Amino acid sequence: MESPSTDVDSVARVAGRIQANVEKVIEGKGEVVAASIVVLLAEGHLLLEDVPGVGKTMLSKALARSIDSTVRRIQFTPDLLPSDITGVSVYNQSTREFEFRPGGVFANIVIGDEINRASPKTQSALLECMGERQVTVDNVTYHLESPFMVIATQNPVEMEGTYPLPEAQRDRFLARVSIGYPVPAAEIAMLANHGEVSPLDDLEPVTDSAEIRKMCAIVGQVHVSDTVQRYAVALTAATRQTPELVLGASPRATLHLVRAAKARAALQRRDYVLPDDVRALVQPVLAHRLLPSAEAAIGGRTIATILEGIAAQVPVPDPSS
Amino acid sequence: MTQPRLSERRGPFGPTLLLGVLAVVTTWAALTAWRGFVELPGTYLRPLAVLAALLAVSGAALRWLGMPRWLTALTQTVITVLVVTRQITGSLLPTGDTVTAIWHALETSVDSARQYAAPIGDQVPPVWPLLLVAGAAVLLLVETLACTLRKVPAAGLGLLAVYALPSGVLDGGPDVWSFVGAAGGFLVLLHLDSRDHLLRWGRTVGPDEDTLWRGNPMREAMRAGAGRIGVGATAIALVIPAFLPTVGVNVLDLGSGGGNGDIRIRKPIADMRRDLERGRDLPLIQVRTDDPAPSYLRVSVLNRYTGDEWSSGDRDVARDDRADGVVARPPGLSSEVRTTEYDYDVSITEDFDSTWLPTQYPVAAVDAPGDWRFDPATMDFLAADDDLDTRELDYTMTALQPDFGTQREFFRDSAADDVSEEVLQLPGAVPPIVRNLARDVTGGAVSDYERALLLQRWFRQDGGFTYDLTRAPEGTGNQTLEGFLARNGRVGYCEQFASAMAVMARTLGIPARVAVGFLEPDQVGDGLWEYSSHDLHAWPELYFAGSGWVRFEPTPSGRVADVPAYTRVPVDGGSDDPRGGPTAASSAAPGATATVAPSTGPGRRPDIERDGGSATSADEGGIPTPLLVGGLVVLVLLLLGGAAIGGPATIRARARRHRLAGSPDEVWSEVRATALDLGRGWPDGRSPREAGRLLLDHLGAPSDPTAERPRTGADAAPEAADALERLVLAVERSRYARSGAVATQERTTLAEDGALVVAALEAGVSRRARRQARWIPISIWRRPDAR
Repeated sequence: MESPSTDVDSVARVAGRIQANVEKVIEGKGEVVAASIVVLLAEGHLLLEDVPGVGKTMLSKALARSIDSTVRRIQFTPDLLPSDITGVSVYNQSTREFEFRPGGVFANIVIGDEINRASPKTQSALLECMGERQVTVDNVTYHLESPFMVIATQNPVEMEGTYPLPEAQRDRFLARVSIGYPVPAAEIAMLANHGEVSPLDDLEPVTDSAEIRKMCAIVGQVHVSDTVQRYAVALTAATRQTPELVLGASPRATLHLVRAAKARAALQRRDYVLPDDVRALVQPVLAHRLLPSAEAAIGGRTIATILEGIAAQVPVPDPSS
Repeated sequence: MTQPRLSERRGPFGPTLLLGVLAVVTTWAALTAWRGFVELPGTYLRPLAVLAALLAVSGAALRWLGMPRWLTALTQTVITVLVVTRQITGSLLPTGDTVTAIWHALETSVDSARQYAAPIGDQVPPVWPLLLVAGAAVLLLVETLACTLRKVPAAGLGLLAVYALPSGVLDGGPDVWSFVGAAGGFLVLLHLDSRDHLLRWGRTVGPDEDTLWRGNPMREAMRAGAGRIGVGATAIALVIPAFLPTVGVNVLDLGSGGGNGDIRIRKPIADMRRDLERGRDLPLIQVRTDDPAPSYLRVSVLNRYTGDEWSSGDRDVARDDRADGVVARPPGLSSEVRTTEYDYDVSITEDFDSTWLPTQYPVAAVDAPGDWRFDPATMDFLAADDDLDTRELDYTMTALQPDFGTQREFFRDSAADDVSEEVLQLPGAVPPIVRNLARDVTGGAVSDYERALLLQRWFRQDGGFTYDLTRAPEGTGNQTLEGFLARNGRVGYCEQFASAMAVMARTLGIPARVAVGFLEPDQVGDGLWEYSSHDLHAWPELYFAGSGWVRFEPTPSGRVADVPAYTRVPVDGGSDDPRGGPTAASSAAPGATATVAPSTGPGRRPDIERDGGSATSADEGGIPTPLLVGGLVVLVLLLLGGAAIGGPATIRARARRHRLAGSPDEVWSEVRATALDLGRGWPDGRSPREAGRLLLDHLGAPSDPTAERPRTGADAAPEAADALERLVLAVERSRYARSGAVATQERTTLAEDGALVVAALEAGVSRRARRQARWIPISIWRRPDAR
C-alpha cells in the first residue's frame, strides 16, 4: 500500500494536470480554477456567481471536459420542469411498460446555467440530487454515479424575473466562487485564443471519472487533527454568535469546510490539514450560506468583510490546551 | 504584527484560584494544631489567615498571568516577609531596625518556649512571633510546592511537619479536627492534581466536559483509585489507633509547667534545666514528717545510657506492685543495715504534674490513691493509669534511713549477678577521655567504694569544675561529656555532673545510674517542709554489695552543700571535705533555695535523641525554632540567591538552550520568545505558517549587513528564510499530522534551523534592542509555551 504522502502526491499531480488544462481557456484565474478542483475532490457542488460574460459557463465546461466523464448542461429557465432535471417515466407502447428516461442530472458533471432563473419548484428538484446523490421518480430511486458534481451559475444582476436560491439549497453548495473580470493582459491573451474557434473544442480530457473517484477516496483519508477540527468549529460557531449575521453557518457548513480543507491539503501534497487550509476556505465555503443583519447591511458591512473579521478574531487553538 | 492576546491563551481564573485557596486553607487548618502552644491562638492564627489569603490571591493571579515560577515564588516570599514584618514590628518595610526587632522577638519567643510549657499565656513573654514566622514559612512552602511547582505530594511533607511538632511536644498531641480538616484538604488537593495529570493525557471523548463528576470513565476511575485510597487511609489513621493497645505509662516524660507556672513532669530529664532557669521558685511539694532532716526526694531513675542520653529504659511493673502500703525492701540493701523509719504525709500542689510519684529512697511503704505501681529494681513509682498524675495528690509514705556507720562493710564490690546488665552497659563510643580520667582519678583506690568516693571528690573539689547553669552545655551524651570533662570545659550543672560520674563509674565496672528528683527541702514550719521547683536535681546512684543503691553527690558545693554521710570518709590519705570543691558560679539557679541545676533528672523527655551537646530547644519540650527559622531563612536565601544568580539573562539563556534542543514546538517557542524579547511582538492565535510569514519581514543578515541589501526581510537572510520555512513545516507536521508520522527533519537540523532563525531575528534589530532583549527578556514573563 502506498504511503499517504505518495497518495496525495498523485492527487496533486492529477489536479495539476486538470488545472493546467482548464487554464488553457480561463486565463489568469488560477485561484478560481483551484477552488473548483477543491470542490470536485471534496465531492461537493459549486456555485459560480458572477456577472454575465466573465466565463462561468466556460469554466464549467472546461472543467467538465478535462475529465473523461459524462457531462450534461441544463439551461435553467422559468418554464423548466422538475422532470426535466430528474427524468420521467414514459409509457412504451411496444413493450407496454413504463420506461425511465433520465433527466439532465444523470451525469458525472452537471452544469446548471443560470439556476436562479428556474422556478423554486424546479430548483428544489435539485435538492435531493445534490444532497443525497440519488433521484426518486415514481417511487423508484436511482443512484447517481460518482463522481457527481453540480456546477451551477447564477447572475447576481438582472434579478428581475429570477428566483433567488432558497437558504436550504444554497447550503447544499459546498462553495461559491466568483470569477471576476480578467486583468488586461489576460483579456488580451483571451482575444488571441478565442479568435475563430472556441478553445473548448481543442480541450482534451486529462483524467477520467475512475481516477477522480480514486482521488476523492484519497482526499477522504487526509488527517484532520483535533486542533484543526476545533478551529473549524470555532469559526462556524463565531458566525452564529456575531450580531452582524442573522443566519450563521450550519453544521453542514462545518462539514463542508473540513472536507474542502482536506482537498486543499491534498492538492498541496499534504496528508494533513492545516488551520491555514481552513482559513483560506472560509470565504468560498461559508459566505453564500450567511445572511447579514439589517444593521450590518446598513452599515455597509458585507458578508466578506464580516467573515474576514471573524477569521481574524478566532484564534487557532493551542494544540496543548 | 498584532500584539499577543494573552487572555485568549489562559484558562479560567476560577480553578487557579481554587487550588491556591485550597492549599492555604489546608495549611492554615493544619496550623491550628499549634493552638495548644498558646493560650490565645488568635495571636498567630489571625495574621496567618491574612497571609494565607494574600498568598492564595497573589499566587493564583501570577500563575494565571503566566508568570514564571521563580517570580511567583519570589513575590510571595516578599509578601510573606512584609506581612510578618508588619505584624511583629508594626512597620511594613523591612529595615535594619525592624530586622533587629524581629530577631529580638524571635529570641524572646525561643526563650519563652524553652522556659514555659504549653499553653503559654500572656503573663510571660509572647511566643506567637515564633509561631507566626514558622507558620508563614509553612504557608509559603506548601503554597509554592502545591500550586506553583505542582508538587502536591511534597507539600504533604510540610503539613506533616506541622503535625510532627505538637505530636512530639504537646501533651495529647494535636487536635484531631485539625488533622481531619487538613487531611481532607490535602486529599482534595491530591485529587485535583491527579485529575489534572490524567486530563493531560488527552481530551475525553463523549459526555459534556462540564459534567465534572458524572459519566466520565476517566474521572470515575480516578475517584475509585486515588480518592478511595486517600479517604480510606485517612479513616484508618483516625480509627485504628482507638483500637490499638497502648502502654499506660509515660516513661521519662518530664515536661515543664504551663506558661502560667505549673511544672509538668512527664519526661524526666529534659525539662529540668528549664525549670531551674524559671524565674519563679514555685512550691511544689509539702511534706509533714517526723524526720528531723528530710533527704532528697526521688522522682525517677534513669538506667539506660545510649551514648546520646540517659533514659529510664524498660520498666517491669507488675500488677501486684501497687503503692498501697508496704513495699519490698530495696534491692541489695542488706538486712544487717540498721534503718530508721520516718513517716511522711506528702501533699503535692496543683503546679506539679508528673506521672512519676516522688518518694524517698529507700522507702518502706507508700500509700497513694490511684493506680500507682513501682518497679522493684529501681523502686520508682509510676502512674499506671493514663489519667493519673500527681497534681493535688495527697499520700503517705514511710522512709527508710539506713545507717551504714563509718565502716565499709556495707560497701563491698558488687558481684556480677547482683544487678542487671543494663546498669553497667556503655555504648562503644564512650570517649577515651572518660575512661582515662576515671582511671587516673581513681588510680590509688583499692575498691569500688573508694573509687566512687574519689570520683565524687574529684568532681566537687579536685577537678576544677564550676557549676554554672547558664553556661552549662546541653545534654548528657558522649560529646557533651567529652567537652564537659576536658580541661577547658568543666562547666556544667547537675545533669552533666551526675551523668559524668555515672558513666565514669560504669567504665570502672561500678553499677551506676542517674536519679532525678529534689534536693533537701526547706523547712516552712514545725515538721513541715517544702520542695520547690528550684530544688530539682539529678544525681548518680551507685550500687555496692550490702548497701544496695546509694546516692552520691558530684555536683559542687556551690550548688549542693553536703554530701551523704557515708561518703564523708577519708580516702587515699585525705578526707573529703564536703564543703570544698569548686565555686558556684554566679549563674546558679536563682532563689535562696538551692535551685538544683537539674542534672539528668526526671526531666522532660527521656527518649529525646540528642546530637551531642548541641541539643535543640525541641529537646526541652519547646518548639524547635532554630529548625523552623533556619528553614525559612534558607528558603528565602535560596529564592533570593536564585533570583540574583539566575537573573533574567541567565534564565533566558538556559531556556533558549533547552528549547533549541527540544521538539519542533519547543524550537518554535524559542522563536516566539526571541521575537517578543526583541520587541517584534507575536501573532498569538495564528497558525505557524501565518506567524512564519510575518516573521520573514523581520529577518536580518547576521554576517553580511551590506548596504545594498534591505535591512530586514526574506531577501536579507535567505538561509534564515529557508530555515524558517523548514521550521514551520516541522511545527505543522508535529502539530497537525497523524501521530507517529515520520519526521522530515532531524532534531539537530531543527536546532540549527531554530538557531539560524533566532540569529536572523536578532540581526534584524538595533543593538539597543538586542541589549534590551538580553537583560530584560519579556518572554520570561509570559508562558514560554504560549503560541
